[in-house]
Amino acid sequence: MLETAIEAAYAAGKLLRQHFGAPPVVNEASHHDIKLELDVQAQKAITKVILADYPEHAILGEEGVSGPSEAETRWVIDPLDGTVNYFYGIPMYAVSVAAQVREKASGTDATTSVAAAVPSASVWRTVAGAVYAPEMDEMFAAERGATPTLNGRAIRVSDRARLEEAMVGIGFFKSEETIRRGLADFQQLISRVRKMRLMGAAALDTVYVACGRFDGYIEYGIKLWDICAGQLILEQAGGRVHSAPGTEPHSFNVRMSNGKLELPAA
Amino acid sequence: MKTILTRHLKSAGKLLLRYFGRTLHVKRKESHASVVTEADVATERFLARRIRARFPTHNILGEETGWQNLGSEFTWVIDPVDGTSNFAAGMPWFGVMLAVLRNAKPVMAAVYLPVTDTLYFAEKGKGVFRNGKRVRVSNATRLSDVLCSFALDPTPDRRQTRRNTELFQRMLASARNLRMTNCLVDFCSTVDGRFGACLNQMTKIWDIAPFVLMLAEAGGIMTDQEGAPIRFDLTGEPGKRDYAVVGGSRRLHKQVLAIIKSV
Repeated sequence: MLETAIEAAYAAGKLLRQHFGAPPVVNEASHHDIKLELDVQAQKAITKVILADYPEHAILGEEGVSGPSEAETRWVIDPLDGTVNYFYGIPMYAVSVAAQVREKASGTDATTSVAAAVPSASVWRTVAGAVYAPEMDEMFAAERGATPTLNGRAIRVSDRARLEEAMVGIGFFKSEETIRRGLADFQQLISRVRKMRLMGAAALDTVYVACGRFDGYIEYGIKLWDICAGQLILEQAGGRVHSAPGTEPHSFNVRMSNGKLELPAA
Repeated sequence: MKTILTRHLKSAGKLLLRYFGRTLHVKRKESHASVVTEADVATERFLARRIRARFPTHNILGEETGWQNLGSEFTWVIDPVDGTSNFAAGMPWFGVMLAVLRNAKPVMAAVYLPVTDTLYFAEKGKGVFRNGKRVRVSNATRLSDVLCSFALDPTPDRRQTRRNTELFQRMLASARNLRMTNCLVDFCSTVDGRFGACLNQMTKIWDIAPFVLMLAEAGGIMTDQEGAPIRFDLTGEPGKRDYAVVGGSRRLHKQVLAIIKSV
């Protein structure tokens, strides 16, 4: 399934790259998010690739679920992570494609539920994931149980364990609660870490920890499709993810690290 | 002058890229710091040599080589690698910049981002150009419609930290969202209007000299955080002075100043 994930991510990435920098067509603009015409097109490009290989699978994204509800495999996709950056011509955006399989009834084991990160009746386990950054032409990919790669080369998390030498990403999803909680972390960390980064693309934050560019990443209220693929890549690269369900459906509060860095408690 | 600011600056950037390639492949246990220092020194020497050869009487102020004051009305300000942390971590957000000051006022400046091969060039009264194409600051009217950048470095001063986080919070509430990647990259994004405004709590002359000119030439402004024009002081040790700055389109700059005043 990893090949399909990669192919789908490339397909959407190519489309996004072609239109990057052009004045975007805004379907619906709010203070918090911008939906782009291209977002829809990129979603179609991904769906087409997946359904050509696996017509019986379901697809979950920002637009909801499509396909059979009893499907044993579902694809969790974000055709454009970092929509706001994209809209303003900032190159930090990515495509995220993950495949999850339904766990059998015994899915109560703690590590499994953390790995699947879905607090619903069914427990889903991520088995393959691809995150593609079109402007840098960087493809991050992983299969469960295998070494993750960046453009085909093996990646690993960094070794930095001390906060004062760490580079930590943080994101602020704009809601009252997520901002309040994120600010508390920001305030704690800003005087203790070497650098903080606000990039505005959760999938990229996640894989940047996976390949050792960042040492940690914190965000409240992030959506499953933003981090599903990245989280598998990070875990396979030796990182650690602490994820708790957020207030909205499919949303999570995450603290990710290289596995050595001790992020202070929230 | 323009040759040094364009052709030689690009060559300096290419030199940086070679070192950048090395940081990506240094063994895990080895320190990245040594490669960064090497890159810093090599790039600055490369540029200083070319400036010296062509303009032997001009002053040169470099982050690495220090202050060579020959008493000229012209001063070249070099920042060989802005974004060293990113450079070391293997991220593309870094660049090299040069500014020419005449009687302490920037008259020509250029910034080069080698990974994306992007050159910003400005000359007083003639505008600012990104890869040859004229750029301008954002024409948005409200902060809530734009991304803004906010940079702050850790400071041991706890009162300052509290004030900074308070300001960060107000800016986060007012702007579309905030970004924090690198001083040079964030300033460039403000010059060409992709960001509405930029705030930086701690900069040196080489971080901001090019942007004081570029923002003005792009139709915007950069001032200190009280709204006063930035006047470079080249007496004593000009590389030791800190500047807290705010830049952007004139309209958005005014709105950011109002927020700063309210904190």
